[in-house]
Amino acid sequence: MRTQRQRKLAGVSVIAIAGMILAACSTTAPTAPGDDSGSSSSAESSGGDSPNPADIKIFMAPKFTGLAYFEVARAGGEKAGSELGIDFQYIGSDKPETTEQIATLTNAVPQSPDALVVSAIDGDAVAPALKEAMGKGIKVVTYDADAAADARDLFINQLSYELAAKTMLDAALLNSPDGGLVAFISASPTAPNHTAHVKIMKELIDTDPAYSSLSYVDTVQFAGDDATKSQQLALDLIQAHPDLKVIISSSAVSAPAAEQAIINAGKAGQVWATGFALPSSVRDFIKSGDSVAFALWDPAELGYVATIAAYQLVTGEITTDPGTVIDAGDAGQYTVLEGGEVQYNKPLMFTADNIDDFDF
Amino acid sequence: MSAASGVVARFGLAGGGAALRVRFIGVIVFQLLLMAVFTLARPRFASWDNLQSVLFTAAILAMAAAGQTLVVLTGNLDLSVGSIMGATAYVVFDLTGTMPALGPWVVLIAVLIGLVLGAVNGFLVTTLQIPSIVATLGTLSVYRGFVSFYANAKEVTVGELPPWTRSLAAARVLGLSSYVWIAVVLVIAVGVMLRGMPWGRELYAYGSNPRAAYYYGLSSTRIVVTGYIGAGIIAAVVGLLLGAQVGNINSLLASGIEMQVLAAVVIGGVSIWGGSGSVYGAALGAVVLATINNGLVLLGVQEYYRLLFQGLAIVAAVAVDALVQRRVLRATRRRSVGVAA
Repeated sequence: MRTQRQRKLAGVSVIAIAGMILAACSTTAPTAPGDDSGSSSSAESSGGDSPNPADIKIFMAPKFTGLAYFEVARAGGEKAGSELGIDFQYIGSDKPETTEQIATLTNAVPQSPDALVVSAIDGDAVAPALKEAMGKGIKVVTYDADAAADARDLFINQLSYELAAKTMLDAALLNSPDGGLVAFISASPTAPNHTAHVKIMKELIDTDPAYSSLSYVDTVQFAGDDATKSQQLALDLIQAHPDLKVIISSSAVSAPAAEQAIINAGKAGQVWATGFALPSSVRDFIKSGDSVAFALWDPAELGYVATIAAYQLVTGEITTDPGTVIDAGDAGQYTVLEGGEVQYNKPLMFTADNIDDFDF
Repeated sequence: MSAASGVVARFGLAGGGAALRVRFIGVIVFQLLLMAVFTLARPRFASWDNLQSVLFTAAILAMAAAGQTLVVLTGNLDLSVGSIMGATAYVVFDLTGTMPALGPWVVLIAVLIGLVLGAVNGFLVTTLQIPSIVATLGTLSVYRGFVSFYANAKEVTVGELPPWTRSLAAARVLGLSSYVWIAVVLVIAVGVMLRGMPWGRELYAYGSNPRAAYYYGLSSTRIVVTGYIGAGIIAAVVGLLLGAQVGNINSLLASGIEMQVLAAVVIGGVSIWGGSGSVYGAALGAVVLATINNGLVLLGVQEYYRLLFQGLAIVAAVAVDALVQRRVLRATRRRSVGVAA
């Protein structure tokens, strides 16, 4: 109820701002946090001596707000927020642009949140804004896509880059058991996770016997999380490489869009697209048999763990020292590794057997 | 009608007709040149399978460019085209998800949305006298903001689309995608309307010389607003087609496509100063862009070079336009001097 109203306010402010300035500026600032106390349960205060949870304010900033994937992660963050009884807010622009995200983060700092939970569009570009926040004592936790290592305290990595690469190659082999030629579509050259995934996938194909039946197209194409662009690239890649078997993308927009392009072109069963995608956006492909497997992890639990970690950093329950254990209750326990990385590492593989088990 | 053609005859096409024809032929030559280069580098380029794929990726852009032409001819721009496409696709397919009984009536809903959004653009540009680049930059943001608000970060997933729209996107007629045929029909229809109907002649007349059109008693407001409405309706219908093609529709569908659309229009020889160029040129411009995209992927070239290449093509096209325009002006001036003497 309360979030509904907030959302409405945010939406109206987007339109109002856009209308007034008549320019491409629609950063949603979080609505004034003065009128709180909306949510009923004042929560069990677990750490009685530490600061009152209701005074703790955590902002979650996804790459951008228009994407279903981030919305699922947000639900996890909100769940953590209400369990802890803290002030949890979701901020961000509805455009997948680095400049917009920098503006969002810069504008968030003066509202003095205790922690920022961020998925970076461009890890280096947002670093100065995040460092400024850290300089003001704000804890910074990245999830989904990391920022420069010195611009955040912890990075909750959904899958280690190695595991992500293996998971996607496994999905590729489920689709095309005999292996064959693989091409990659990434979001952008500045997305650190996508770049790392592709690099490791290439290395695995070169060296790991498990993937020796695969070969790859060296040039990586970039679709910027845009469905139309992904489809055009998929079709052009199929034309460029008549023996292409699988198109792999770490982008939850590009992978399903590419699969749809393959179906439209009448090439289903000859070429497959796979990679990371929300089960809701690939359910139809898997049920129709056009696709065998897509992969992901549970974004809600990832958002939950990241928010819990941010909270525990704020209260001082944990530090960023390697070996520190983050206890996220039912969501599991996670150990901080070298460089402040925390690996969530629970890949999900969606196939005809389990696709109906997922409701996101 | 006669007033409009009179203006055209005196101030526009007739004077520099040759130069304009050369401009159109220039695009064809450029396209053939591109095809020759790509074929030499990658013989596969010239295969039927590849060429039909290029036409398919050009189809959406060609239709959107046809719509944009209606606005550019009046000397204005419509930067909100991507937002109109996205808004229509999301709203309409969200509705069909909850009301499958709508069937093909969804097209009518799309037309209505396009009409309203286009009319708003026209109103801002004419009645409020806001320069079109600023007005439509604003509506680009407002329309997109509306979809973001409406969609609330949800997706219309592929399984929720009406099966007939998905079948249409995958259908093939005579070896070509149904979208290619739809694009051909739409572009020719717009072309015929522009050349054959008084309304079309007025768009040209107004665009080539707004002042003269005014003295001939043409209503600038009506002409510009109808141009925007036409563009809005086409963008909306194209958005619907794009949505069916993409499958999973989020609130960002078609964002940023305005640059591609404008590039197609400009490369295709529709003068950004208004009043000259044809919808066929714009559609051809879309084919040129699709060819560049396809050829560079075939060559295994990185994205950056694609942008560079596309940018160069745009600058070259506008430079040629400037030259042609000067030619036309000189021809017209010579003639009016002749008349005076």
